[in-house]
Amino acid sequence: MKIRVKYFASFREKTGKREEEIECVPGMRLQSLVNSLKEKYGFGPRILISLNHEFGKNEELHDGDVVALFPPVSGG
Amino acid sequence: MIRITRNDFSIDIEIRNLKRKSCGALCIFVGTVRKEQGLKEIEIETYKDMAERNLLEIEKKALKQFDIKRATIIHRTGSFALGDNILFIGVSAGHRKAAFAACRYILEEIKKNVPIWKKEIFEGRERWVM
Repeated sequence: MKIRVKYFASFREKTGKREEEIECVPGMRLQSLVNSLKEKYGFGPRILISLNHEFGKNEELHDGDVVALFPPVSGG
Repeated sequence: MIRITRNDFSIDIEIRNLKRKSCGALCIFVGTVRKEQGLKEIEIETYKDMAERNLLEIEKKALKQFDIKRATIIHRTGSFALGDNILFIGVSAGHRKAAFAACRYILEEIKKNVPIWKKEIFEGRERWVM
């Protein structure tokens, strides 16, 4: 199954990309995908995760899901 | 009403849109770019799809939790110079207490839960605000 992963702010700069498509095994959970991306790109511990535009925890992933990784927010 | 936009807002127009005959209080907060040593400009990046959803949710909760009539939230995105407007929050209510409380609630929720980031650009260096 294919998962679209988006990166924002310092994470976008670190990866050098706004988004990418990742092939995942069926039944994979969010945290497992995030851990592999942390390892690949060296993201620090302060990381926020969203799944289909809502903050995510460790949900099961499904084909076509949109995941986003980004640092703590600083708007306002 | 919520909006994420590159364009500036008119405080007068937003106030006019918030006013109701039944409202005796109107509280607004305007966030602007603050002068800091060596700061040239700031950039604001958003995850627009998610930020719009979260702002709508904050507006909905504010209307439910506080005795207010209307709320307006506008966050700008793009590059900004010192003094530029970046955020407008406006709340109209029957009385001041609810208007102040709702305005503060909306601001604090934005700072915690909306995917928006600021980057400060200085002469020869830059940093993401954490």
